[in-house]
Amino acid sequence: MNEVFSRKKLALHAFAVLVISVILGVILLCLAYMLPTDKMKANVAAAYDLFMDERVYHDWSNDVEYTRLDGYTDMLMYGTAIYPNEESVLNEALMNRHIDMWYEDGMDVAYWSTDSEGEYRPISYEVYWHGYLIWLKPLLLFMHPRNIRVLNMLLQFVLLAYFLQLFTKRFQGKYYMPLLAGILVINPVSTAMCLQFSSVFYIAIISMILMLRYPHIVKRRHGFSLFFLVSGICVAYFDFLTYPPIALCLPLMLYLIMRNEDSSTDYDQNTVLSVFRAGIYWSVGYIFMWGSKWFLPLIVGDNRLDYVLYELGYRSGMDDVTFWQVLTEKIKVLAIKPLLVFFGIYAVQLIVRLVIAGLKKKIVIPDYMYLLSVALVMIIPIAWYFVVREHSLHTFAYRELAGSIMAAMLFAESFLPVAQSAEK
Amino acid sequence: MTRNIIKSLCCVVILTLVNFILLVGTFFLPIDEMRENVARSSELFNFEGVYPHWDTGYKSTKLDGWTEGAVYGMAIYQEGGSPLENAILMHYIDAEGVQMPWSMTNYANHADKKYSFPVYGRYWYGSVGIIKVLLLFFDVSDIRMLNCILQMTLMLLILIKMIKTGMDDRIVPFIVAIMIIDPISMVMCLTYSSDYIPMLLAILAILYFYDYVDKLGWMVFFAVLGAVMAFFSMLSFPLIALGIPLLFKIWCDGIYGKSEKNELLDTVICSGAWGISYGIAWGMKWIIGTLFTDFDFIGNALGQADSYYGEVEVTVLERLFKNVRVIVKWPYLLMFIAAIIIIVVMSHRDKNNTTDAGCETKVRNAGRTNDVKTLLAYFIIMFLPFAMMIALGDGYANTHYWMAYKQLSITAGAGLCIISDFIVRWKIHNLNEGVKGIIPELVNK
Repeated sequence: MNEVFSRKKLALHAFAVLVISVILGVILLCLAYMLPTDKMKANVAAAYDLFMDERVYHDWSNDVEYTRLDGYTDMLMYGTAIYPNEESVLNEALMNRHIDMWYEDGMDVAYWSTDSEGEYRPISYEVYWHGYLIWLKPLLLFMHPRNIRVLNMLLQFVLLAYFLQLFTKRFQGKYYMPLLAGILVINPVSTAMCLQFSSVFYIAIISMILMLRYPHIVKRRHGFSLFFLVSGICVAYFDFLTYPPIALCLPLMLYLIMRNEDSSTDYDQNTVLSVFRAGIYWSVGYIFMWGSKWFLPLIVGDNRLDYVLYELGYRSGMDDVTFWQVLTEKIKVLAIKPLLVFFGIYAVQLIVRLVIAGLKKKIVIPDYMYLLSVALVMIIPIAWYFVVREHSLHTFAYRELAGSIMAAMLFAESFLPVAQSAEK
Repeated sequence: MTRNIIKSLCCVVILTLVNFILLVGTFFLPIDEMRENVARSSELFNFEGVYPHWDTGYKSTKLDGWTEGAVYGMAIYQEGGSPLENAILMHYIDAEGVQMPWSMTNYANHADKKYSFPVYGRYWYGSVGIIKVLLLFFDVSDIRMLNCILQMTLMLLILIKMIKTGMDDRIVPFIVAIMIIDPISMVMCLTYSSDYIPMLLAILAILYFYDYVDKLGWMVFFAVLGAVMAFFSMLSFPLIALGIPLLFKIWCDGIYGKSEKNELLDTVICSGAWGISYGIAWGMKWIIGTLFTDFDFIGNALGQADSYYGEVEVTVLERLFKNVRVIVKWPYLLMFIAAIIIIVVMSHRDKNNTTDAGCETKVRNAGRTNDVKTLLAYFIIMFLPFAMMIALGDGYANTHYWMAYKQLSITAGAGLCIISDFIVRWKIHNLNEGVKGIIPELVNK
């Protein structure tokens, strides 16, 4: 029997999840920081050539921003992982120090790991959780970054294949064009080659796998809300503010199409409200989890709240960067001939199919609530650009548009009769 | 049989001639725009150099920048000669004192150098024709992106069809094979794509047009595939376009209930047809070249054969180990362990679910593995890469082990199928009587 929804119970559970996440987050980081770093440092040093070959912002297809990797942050991640534990474990886990040199080339970690001469200084980067350390540190005990990159590729492609398996079984080959477009925009080659881009990819894909595997989790408001709360928490814990809305938009779109295809009465909320609910709970999880990290260093006597406030103001860039500037910059990244060809071909076939359906009077009038919900998802990345303007100027933030593009394609395809009947 | 042999021969000869005519046709296209597009991408070649890695120092991620440079050089060669001659001789660019690919980028940029244009005519270089057309509209970075989009699309279509057909338990061997081939290298290196894309297309053809191909005859299909490979491949790892499609053929035979088929015989015939048509199509290049030009193709081929078999640096066993060692790394080992665990779990999961299509498939496939001939077919497929590594001498699998190893994907795929089917057989022995009762019915369905 379905339980009756209780706001009070949900609020209580959400609060408990948040508190437990913070405690668990700290414990896991402390455990990771207990590991010896000598072997990790030696393993990072073994990848010196890799770092020096690619430098900080390597394009895997020259001068195409769409293929740009963030080697700077990858090195920062490795640098944080191998920083020797000089203070107490708790202090290190909360302060997240890495080594910085006075050079401008951003190759500090490569130099330091190989004990090159230079003036080193520890820098703490406590504004983020650095949750990736819970897997990166153990991996570095056994393998060097070159192995980790290949492992990352294998894992991502295997997860993607598993997701496709579940997705195809569920929808019988429908919606594959929006899905393909989303995958292409996120660019799995880059996410496989760059650790910094991997966190959101993993969270989004694992969330969707869970949704397809255990759909009952999100059928009721209670589970649905907690699901997105945990997703937001995970993004704040593992990610460096890369393209977080994707971890919200992709699972949310999957929920909407699952809901649209499922005529069961198990669902206890309307789709439009579900978009708002997911957005709110995801944001609460994200902001609370991230915000908690700004206060946690107080435990070890570090007060950087002024710096955090400065960063927040700077990252939003409300005064210096216009919204249109951000949006046009992001669209420009995707305005490359191959993608234009892809989307051009898609648009032409879509228009032809719509016209044929119109002539045959077979245009489907979808549920307006579904349409409105998809349209709302389309807006999420745009709204993100509006709020987080300065940070969105980073090249990699273009990936958030995958959410808008996929939603736009779902919106358009919902009028097609073919989209409604599974290709058997 | 005789009819099929004649049909295969006709197909191979006609297809190769048509391909040749199309290739010559692309040499009529204006080259200025192509050269400009390559010049615009000079930085890409200059940065990556001769043999770049997408993961520095990791052999499985090594790309063939030399051949890439040579191929783009052939596409923009602009030193006179008739289109027919140029399409046959395939001149690449060599600037004095400058290595490939910098020779080619210097030429593209009209740099003042002393150039020579050696003939590289022993392969067909069918991909040059496609590159020429693309270079009219796109630069090299664009072509790389297009390659990425195409490969992702093909992979998605394959996976969708596999799942819809009920090949769930074959996804693991397939994905492991693809991971060994390395999809990122495939995106970043056109030389590799010349082997990889025909393989994906062949798989799609088997999956989407199984009935048609079955009617046409598998010998004809694989003969055509061999001819296509001879036309496009630069002998990087063409065998993937035989081994992996052969696996799909066996899987589809299982799925579509063709239990009367003798997979062992089919595998031998298809492999033979593929190999012979590869040889015929390749040989046609030398015959056509000898007929239409003064270049000594036979002498060139013999010289190249000498470099492959002449100086032997390592023993056969060392050569094989050198290839295997490329994937004896932590990530791949973890992947193999995970694959076997997944196969065991998947076999266990559906053991009592007799209505599930996936279980039916497993039972059917397992039934087929009970057939010793199918098992032997898997074993033959598994050892195909080793046969090629042994047959082609030191110049192939020793010098170019970092690309030749990719053919081990076939070994891994076939090996996992054998393991998977054995586990299912073993499971069936432990099934309850009700399920056991329907097995013959399923196998013969």
